[in-house]
Amino acid sequence: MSGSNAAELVRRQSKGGSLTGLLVGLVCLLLGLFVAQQLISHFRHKSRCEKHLQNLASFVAAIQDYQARTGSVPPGNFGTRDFPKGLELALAKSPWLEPSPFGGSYVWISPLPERALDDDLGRESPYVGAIGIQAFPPESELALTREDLAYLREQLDTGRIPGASHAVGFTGWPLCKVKPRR
Amino acid sequence: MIHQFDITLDHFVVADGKAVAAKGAKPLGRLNSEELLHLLEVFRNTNPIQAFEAEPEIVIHTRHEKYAVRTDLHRLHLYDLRHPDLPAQVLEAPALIAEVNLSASEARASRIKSAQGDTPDESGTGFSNNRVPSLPFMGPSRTLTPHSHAPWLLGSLAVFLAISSLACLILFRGEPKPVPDSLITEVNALSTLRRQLAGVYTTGNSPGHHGIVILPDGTLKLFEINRDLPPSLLQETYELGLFQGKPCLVIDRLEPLILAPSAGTLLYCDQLYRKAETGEAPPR
Repeated sequence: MSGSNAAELVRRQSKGGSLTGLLVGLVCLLLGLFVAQQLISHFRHKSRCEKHLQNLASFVAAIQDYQARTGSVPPGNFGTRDFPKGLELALAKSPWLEPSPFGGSYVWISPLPERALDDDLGRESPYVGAIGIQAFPPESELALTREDLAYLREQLDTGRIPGASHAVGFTGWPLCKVKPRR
Repeated sequence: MIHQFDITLDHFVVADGKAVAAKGAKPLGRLNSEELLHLLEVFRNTNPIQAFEAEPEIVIHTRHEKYAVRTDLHRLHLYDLRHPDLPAQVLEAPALIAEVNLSASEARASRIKSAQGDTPDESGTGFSNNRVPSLPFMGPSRTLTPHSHAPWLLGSLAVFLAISSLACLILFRGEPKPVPDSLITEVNALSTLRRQLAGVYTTGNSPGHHGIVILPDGTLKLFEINRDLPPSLLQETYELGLFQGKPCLVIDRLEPLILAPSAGTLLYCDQLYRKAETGEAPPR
């Protein structure tokens, strides 16, 4: 065996080592991208939820103000994208007429349809209505995930917005049930 | 102890101290340490350009080992030809001879033993520390080189990232969709159940109430009754399955299961839908 062969072997070994490093680096890069994608997706969804919760807080405050002032609640505006009657001024500067952060449009549901599980105790529901999101065609579909729903439920059911709680609405769309202000 | 080395020169003319590509391998004979030291000094002073072009080499045979020495910019590179996977060591000529006659490795072993508190048995090893040249740090170790660290570091990073990815998946995953226990695929059972379930189901007839129209062709409509406008509609296809022993319809929605707990009723999103009287026209 000559020294040239030895040097060639060394060179090959060195090349093999760098190839292994390259492959491992590539795997690291892909894993890194995957982690980054997961994180970005998570924070994007969370920011949408936060925006939606901010919107809900302003809507709930307007509805509770109206109820405290007049002693009644605005009627539901089913099937329309208008302001609920009586809340035109209160919601004029709010994003009520804009699409929700998940798509679709906001709707005020009052009175609440009877819910199968609310009837178990036979008590009158304290909720006077609910703010929902609707996405009937030709509006765009809701880009809402079960993770978003879980986050909204957690935030609303732990008192993030006073007098509001979460419910699953039609086809799973989120509802924010509203109680009168104490 | 006098060491002897069998030397072969390749692409190198020792008389001129020149590297010549046309010059083939030529045995030089047996040299002692002093002669080898002189040869290495001559070899080290080879013109770097000639060394680059001709790749001259000194092959050193000892009793049990075989080495190759190469040069570039007045440096000596020692290759262990029996372990070609090891990187070369860049050494001064005396240190190179100490490596070749194994006195360097014996000195290292001796120092390790001393560090461990074990007095070296000099008579047993057959050498004296005085005869071992004072060696500088030999550069990359044969077993732990920076090069060999890289794959381990990258591998550790890959494992860390894999664990992070799994953690992300576990932490950030949404709630799992409810799924039916089984899907009904048998044709006769499917068509029978579709016919039984077909009809219009509503939660009431006031604005804000909802309804489901099930058609026997595998489609359904979800609708909401509006105040002064026609109902809002969503159209879906459905599959039939069983959930806790009861029939269910499976659709592609956030809430994918419509349960049929008893004849004439549906349960969907916590709302109870009752079948409308026969003859009631479904919304269009």
